[in-house]
Amino acid sequence: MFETDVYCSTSLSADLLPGDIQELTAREIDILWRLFQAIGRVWQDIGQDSVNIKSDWLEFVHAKTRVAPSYTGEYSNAASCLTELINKYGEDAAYQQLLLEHGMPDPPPPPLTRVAHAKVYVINEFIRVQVAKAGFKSWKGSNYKGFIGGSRYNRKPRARSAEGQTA
Amino acid sequence: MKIREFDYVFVGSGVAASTVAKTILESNRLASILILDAGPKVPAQDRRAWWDYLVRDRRPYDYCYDQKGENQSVGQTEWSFDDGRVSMYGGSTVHWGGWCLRFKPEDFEVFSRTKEGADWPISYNTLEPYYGRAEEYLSVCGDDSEGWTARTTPYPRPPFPWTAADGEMIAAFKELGIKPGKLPIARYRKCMTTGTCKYCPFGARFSGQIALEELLTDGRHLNLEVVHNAPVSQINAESKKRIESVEYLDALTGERYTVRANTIIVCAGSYETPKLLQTSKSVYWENGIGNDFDLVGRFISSHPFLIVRGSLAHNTEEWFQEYDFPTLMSRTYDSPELQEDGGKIFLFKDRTQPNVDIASLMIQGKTRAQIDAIVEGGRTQELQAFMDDRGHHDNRVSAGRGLNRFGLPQTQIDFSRPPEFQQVVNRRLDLMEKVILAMGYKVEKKTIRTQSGHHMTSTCRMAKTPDQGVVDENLRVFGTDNLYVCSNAVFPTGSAVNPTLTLTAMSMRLGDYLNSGAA
Ligand SMILES: Cc1cc2nc3c(=O)[nH]c(=O)nc-3n(C[C@H](O)[C@H](O)[C@H](O)COP(=O)(O)OP(=O)(O)OC[C@H]3O[C@@H](n4cnc5c(N)ncnc54)[C@H](O)[C@@H]3O)c2cc1C
Ligand code: SF4
Repeated sequence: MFETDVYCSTSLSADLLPGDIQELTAREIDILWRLFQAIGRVWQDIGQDSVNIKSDWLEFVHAKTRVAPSYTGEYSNAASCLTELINKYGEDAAYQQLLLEHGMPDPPPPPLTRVAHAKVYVINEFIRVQVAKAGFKSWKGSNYKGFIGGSRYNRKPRARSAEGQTA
Repeated sequence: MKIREFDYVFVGSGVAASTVAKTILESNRLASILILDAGPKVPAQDRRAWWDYLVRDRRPYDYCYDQKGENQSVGQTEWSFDDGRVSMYGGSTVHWGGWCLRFKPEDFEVFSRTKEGADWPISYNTLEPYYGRAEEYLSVCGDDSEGWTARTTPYPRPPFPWTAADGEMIAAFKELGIKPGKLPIARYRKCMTTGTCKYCPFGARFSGQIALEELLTDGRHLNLEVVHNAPVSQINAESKKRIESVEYLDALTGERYTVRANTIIVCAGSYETPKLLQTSKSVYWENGIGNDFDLVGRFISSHPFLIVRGSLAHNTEEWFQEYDFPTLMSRTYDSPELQEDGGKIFLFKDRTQPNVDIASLMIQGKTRAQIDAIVEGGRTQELQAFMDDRGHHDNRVSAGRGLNRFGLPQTQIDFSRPPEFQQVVNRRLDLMEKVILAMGYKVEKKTIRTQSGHHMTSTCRMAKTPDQGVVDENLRVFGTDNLYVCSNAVFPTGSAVNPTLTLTAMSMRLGDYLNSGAA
């Protein structure tokens, strides 16, 4: 994936990049938010756009960057990778490659380049957040592991139910 | 060695300890109680930990499970220690499923009915009022019309409805004369059906940890103390009858303590409770406390776990599992007839199927069209069952080599199934297979899982006389005045259903007994 791109293809160890004394800038958060929105577009699993789950995403990013071990180093690295790729290929092609044409299995091998770090530590986790918070609904689901749907004492059933089945 | 004194000392801080302590404190808010647990304290409801569980499938207490190489299985039947218990503040209910089923009357009469296992010295009727209290306490959501056992009180909360994916199995059950039921499960009113129950972000399912926090934050309990990272290594007797103290290490400071108490209650689970009694030797108890008849640690019982999986070549409904717990079950084969035929089974639909991990497919880079084809291209469903187990004299738990990370002796399990066991299993698997076939599914798997100790019982049996068991019907260790065991270990024989509702009921009963002054 992106062998010719200088920043992205830099080799580094698979360990979590240090980030405990770093802070994300507004620009980096914006780049990451655009990546999160791209997930919904690429898989067409979110109604209009991802704005309705922005608060979930922000809470996730805060939890991952403000509590040790901080992912700030990873998020900053991912933002730099995205910047390099988008400048070179344009947004659509960059996301296409990062999200669909990377050839990386799940579970992934240890990430040994900067772009592999972005995929394993950031993109893969963003996908899990996106599906649990909203994306699953586009596959007809009413509930999903990690979805906070509200009280089950509400009138509307929380999961698709076996209507009319009685003991 | 520092000396401390309390009215009551508990070894272990799980549901058993917290329930007995709660019952005592309800009667005497100022009772002086020390609860000791070998494991650490892991924060509950931590949002970062919760997100990590969701996206990385890591629980913050994963390091509190038994790890490979820490224990030894030495019998003919392989024994798995994986995920079998949690050593931490609050104990194993931190990760339990919360399934809460009452035992049936015949479970208390196993020996009389089968000439195997042992009878309980108490009956279903003795425990029935405590079952009602325990259901209230654990907040069990169940179906009042189920009719599996006689009950005098309703469930405190309504059941979870069957999911759409249950429908096919319900129809197959009915075709085969199996009565479908709703799984009674412990969930508080605030449950949001998030499905991350092994680390609930809201504390919406009972755990020993929540129970302890509630007791500790109640300002009236001025003399209650809980110490974690505190492995108890020894129980000391001052005479044959009088148990004087326990010894523990505060692993965080390295200090050693002796705690004297009027009443000592061992709630250390079915592995550690017998090991602690076995190792507590003295001139009064040369083979360990309560072990004059060499019964401590024997009769290990644990559910055989049976599964039959079927597959269907389409899934146009796009069903996948929407809760993290099952909703469909049946106790039709949890019957006296099957008990007499070698083993009864409690049936339930697997909580994880049908399922497609959509996020994983996206992570792999599959396109929307490819994912749709996979989701709609087929599904699996699995019928699972626990079978009752009777316990054999030769099957035994004892201390293994050295100490584990928490300062407790490693565990050795010597466990072997008799040759006729597999025939009973095969007959039960045949019954289960009929359900999968009646659903129109192709059978993919029909097997028994590696034996594990998730629901281990009977290693300190309750009995009428000391030559039959380790504790009497009030859970007092035979031959002592003031040492009690409260654990699944005291069940003379298990049943086909999960043990913890019964354990909670027994804990309340012990609390009442201690409060009554009869002790
Ligand atoms: C995966 C899984 C799912 C389960 N789901 C269900 C379910 O849905 N329904 C159900 O009924 N049951 C379920 N169970 C069983 C349930 O967890 C147990 O029945 C219950 O937790 C036992 O409670 P306890 O208080 O006796 O012991 P525990 O909760 O295990 O607590 C014992 C505590 O004692 C401590 N300890 C041990 N030895 C010492 C010592 N020497 N010194 C100090 N501390 C010590 C340990 O660290 C531990 O924390 C499940 C079990 C597993 C493994
Ligand atoms: S379903 Fe959700 S809210 Fe309910 S107990 Fe499980 S994790 Fe907690």
